[in-house]
Amino acid sequence: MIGNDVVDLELAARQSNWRRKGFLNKVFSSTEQELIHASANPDKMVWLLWSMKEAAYKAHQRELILPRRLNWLVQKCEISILTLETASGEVEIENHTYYTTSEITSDYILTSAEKNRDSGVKNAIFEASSSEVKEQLKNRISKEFALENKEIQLEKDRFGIPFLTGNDSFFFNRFSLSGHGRFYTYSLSLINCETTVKHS
Amino acid sequence: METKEIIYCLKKIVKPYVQNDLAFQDFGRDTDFIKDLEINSANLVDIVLDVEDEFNIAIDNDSMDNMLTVNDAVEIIKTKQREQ
Repeated sequence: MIGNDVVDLELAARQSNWRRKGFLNKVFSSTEQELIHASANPDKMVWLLWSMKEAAYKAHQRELILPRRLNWLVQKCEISILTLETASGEVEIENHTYYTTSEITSDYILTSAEKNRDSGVKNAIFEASSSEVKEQLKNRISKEFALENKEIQLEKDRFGIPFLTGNDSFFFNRFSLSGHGRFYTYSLSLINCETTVKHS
Repeated sequence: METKEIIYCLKKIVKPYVQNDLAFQDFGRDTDFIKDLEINSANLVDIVLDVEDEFNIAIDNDSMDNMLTVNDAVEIIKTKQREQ
């Protein structure tokens, strides 16, 4: 299963003060805090690790059908490759490992997490106002599946996990959505998905 | 502390982080921080820290885990205050 997360860096800087007393200890292990303090750009490191945790938890939540939880310390991040524009790593959650890939720009950090390596995750990011986001998403996703916009529906289960439905018992849940500030993203895993896509 | 009093304090704490003002008008026990108020997840950490400061309690990780609604927060605050 997959999950994703986007952080609008400009909004995060305005909206969250991770330097406030107690913040880091609620979210990051001592090893992760060392990465933050050793980083040349601690703000980016905070939001990179954050997005890895959030993306991995979304994949985990979908994998095991779990409610949302507020326990970031359960998600243990390891970064294996870090460049100025990309990062990849692993997040362990209660003996499950998720592989993460992140795109880092001056505006945002976008991370997707997958349970199985190379599950063909495709990420898309776009800017939209909150009033037009749903329509835009339906449009863009319909194009991914070569469907008509009116055929596809975006739904959420009782835990708020999104999935797609459509005509002819089309059902797709190897999918994740995230929005923060200016940015909205979706990720799709399109490899080996015969079992989940029933579109006759 | 009375439940009503706790909810009143929580409402003040949560206000600066709310993204859905319409849902905030119906703030009550059943209000869900994420689903209803659309609070950004990083700000949930701030809410936990603000609650700790305001009520002078320490919220351990297991308690924080389930703090998804106003009612969850009320129960955690009451339990922690009793323990003190």
